[in-house]
Amino acid sequence: MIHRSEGLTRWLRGLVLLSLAAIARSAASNPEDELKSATVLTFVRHSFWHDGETGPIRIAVLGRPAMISTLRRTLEGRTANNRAIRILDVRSIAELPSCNVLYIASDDNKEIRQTLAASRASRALTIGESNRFLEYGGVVNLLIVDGRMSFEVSREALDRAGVTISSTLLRYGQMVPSVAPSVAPSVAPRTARPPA
Amino acid sequence: MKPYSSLRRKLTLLIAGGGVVAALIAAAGFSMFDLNRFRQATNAQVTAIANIVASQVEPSIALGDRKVAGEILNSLLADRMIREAVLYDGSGACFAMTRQSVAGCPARPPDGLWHQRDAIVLVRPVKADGERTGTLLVAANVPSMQEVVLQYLGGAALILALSLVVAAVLAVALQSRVSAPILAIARVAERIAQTHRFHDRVAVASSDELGVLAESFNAMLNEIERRDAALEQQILERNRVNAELRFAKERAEEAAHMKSQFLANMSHEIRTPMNGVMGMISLVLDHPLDPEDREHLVVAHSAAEALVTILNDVLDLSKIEAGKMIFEAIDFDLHRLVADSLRIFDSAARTKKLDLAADLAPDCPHWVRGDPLRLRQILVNLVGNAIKFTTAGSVRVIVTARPENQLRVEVRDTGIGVPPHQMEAIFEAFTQADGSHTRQFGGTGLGLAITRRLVDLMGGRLWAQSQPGRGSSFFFELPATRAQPIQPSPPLPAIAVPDMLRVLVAEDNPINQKVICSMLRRQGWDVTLAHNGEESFRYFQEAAFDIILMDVQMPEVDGLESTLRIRQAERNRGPGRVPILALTAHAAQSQHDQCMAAGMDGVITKPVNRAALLTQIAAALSHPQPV
Repeated sequence: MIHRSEGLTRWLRGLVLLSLAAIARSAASNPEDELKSATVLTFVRHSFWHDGETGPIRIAVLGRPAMISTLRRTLEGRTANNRAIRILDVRSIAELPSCNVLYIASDDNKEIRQTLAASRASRALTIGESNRFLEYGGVVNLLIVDGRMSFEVSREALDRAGVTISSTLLRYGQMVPSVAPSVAPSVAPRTARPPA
Repeated sequence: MKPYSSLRRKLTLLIAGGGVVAALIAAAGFSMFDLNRFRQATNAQVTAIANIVASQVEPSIALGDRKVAGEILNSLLADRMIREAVLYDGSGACFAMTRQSVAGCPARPPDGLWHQRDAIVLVRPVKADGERTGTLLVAANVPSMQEVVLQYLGGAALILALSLVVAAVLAVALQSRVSAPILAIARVAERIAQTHRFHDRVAVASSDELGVLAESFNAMLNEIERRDAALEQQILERNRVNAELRFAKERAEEAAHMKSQFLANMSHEIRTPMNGVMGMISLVLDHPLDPEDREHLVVAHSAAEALVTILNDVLDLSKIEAGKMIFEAIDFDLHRLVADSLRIFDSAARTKKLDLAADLAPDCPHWVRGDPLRLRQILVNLVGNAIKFTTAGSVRVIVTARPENQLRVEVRDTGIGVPPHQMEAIFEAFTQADGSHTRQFGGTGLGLAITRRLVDLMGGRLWAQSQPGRGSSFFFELPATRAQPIQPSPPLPAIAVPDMLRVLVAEDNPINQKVICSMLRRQGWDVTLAHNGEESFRYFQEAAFDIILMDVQMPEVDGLESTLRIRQAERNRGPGRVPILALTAHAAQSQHDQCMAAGMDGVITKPVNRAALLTQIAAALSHPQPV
């Protein structure tokens, strides 16, 4: 009897966990957002701000609500370099908060351009997911290539932002020395890279 | 020479064996040590590599970038030490791996450092800010123990070969440094053992123990050589001394011999004329003389007799000293010999009023075997001595038998005696108890010396006991075996010599010729004189004789040879045999036998006594011998 009740308890617990996982998966809109979120965490963990702050690392997010919720779900409560991570929801460009990382989950070029322009003074590490993100002065642009995460980094923007990214991480992406707006096609071959 | 390789071989084996053992121990030790060190170094290296690689590949899991992770892992293979690397993601599934592992992904082992037979496997977590995002496995090649040991054994083999070479070289060096000097010493020793020449030396080259040995050996040889030389010198010296001594001894012996010879010759030469003197005196005494002349002649005769006695003593001593004294062994009547010996001194004892008598014990043998002449001489000497030195009292001769066929004779007197300290000296030649005795009692002092030597030579012993002033006893013991009595010859008939007789006398000595011829002519006989054996034989053939008197010792043809010729001629001629009587100075039985063997009929001893001469002639004529 005892065995049977224990086995039953374990079965019930497993059932609950499975259902919870299913709910979570349904809540998380898609695996790409999950991957992006994990990449953001990696960036946070491999980046160093030289402002001497020791408080929580603030990650401001604007754009797609799904992305926002994914980030909030996967990054809240995690740490980077022993600093807590906070996800700040940015409702409008006007009320852009002071942050260490600014994630722009949008492919609206205008919005991106405006937001980057507005954040230029905040010296935050800007991360985007648009083809022309670097063109507009962003630091890191996340790309999904053949189901794996890649990224490109603008050295110019990185220098401007005053953030250091470890070379360990940088080797996984592409370093773009200078991004001229007229040189758009230069991105295209990169994105159209043949599958590895 | 035997091959002396054992020392070299032993040393070679020692060196080579030491090299082998050292190489093996070193190989084993270095293998262990090196393997251990290698593993530690590999551990550290693998750990360091894994640390770096873990941080390098950490982002790949988050980014899902298997390609870059694979590149990073493959880059590890540039280091040949790394065999394999695998990256597992957070769920434990294979995320990336090196090219070698494409065959399949190994299951993720637990964290830690795992030592396999030929590899070190490090499994460690990949962490991002304390969160475990994956697991890294790095496997490094580690040479196996066998591999390392084989490597070192290769080294050991090299060392071995080197040690063998070194051993060979050392053995050769040893041969020249150790074995060669020893062999050199051995060779010299062997050569010396063969040649017995000690002038060989070992060439000393080294200053080590072998050098010391060689030097000691040389020193020993020096010592031996020195001693040899000294010994040789001593032997030469001794030989020289010996030769001198031998020469001196020979000269002394020769001198003694010549002295004895001289004495003998002198005695003989003196005795022959003395015989003539005595013969002439007795011839004169046969004639009627006035009493005064007769007394003078009697004194002269006794003086001559004394002189002959002395000469006889000297001759005896010479013979004894020359070792030419010969003893006879014939059977004789002991009692009669003692009685005859004492009879000589009857008149002397009567003159001195001494009681002279013999006392023969009942158990002493009547007939014994020995040399009666010498026994008689001994007795006469001792009794004469006793009478000479006894002025009053008695002289006794006591004969007793002793065990083992010994005969003991004691001559006891009541004379002046001999002081104890001179008891031995009296037996020395030319010595008397006191020099003054010579003046008082006369004599040469030879009597006792001759007596003792005679007794010694006959295998007996002579000694004396004496109390000065009370008397002396002289004892002697002689071996005398009992003998069978000889039937006494029938008493000789009364001397009946014919009135007419033809006598041939062969004698070379003029005095003897004169004495004998006078004696014969006095009988009225016809005497023919031959001066030697040759002449006598010629006369025998030319004329007829009734009897021949033949001197034994004559020049050219002696008496014996002449007799043999005569007997031979008689046998050729036919019946008829002339008796021949020998004339000789030698009274020995051997001479007597020799004469009889030559065919003679009797022996007449010189000096010739007229009575004895006539008795012998009569006996020879009355008992004719067959031819």
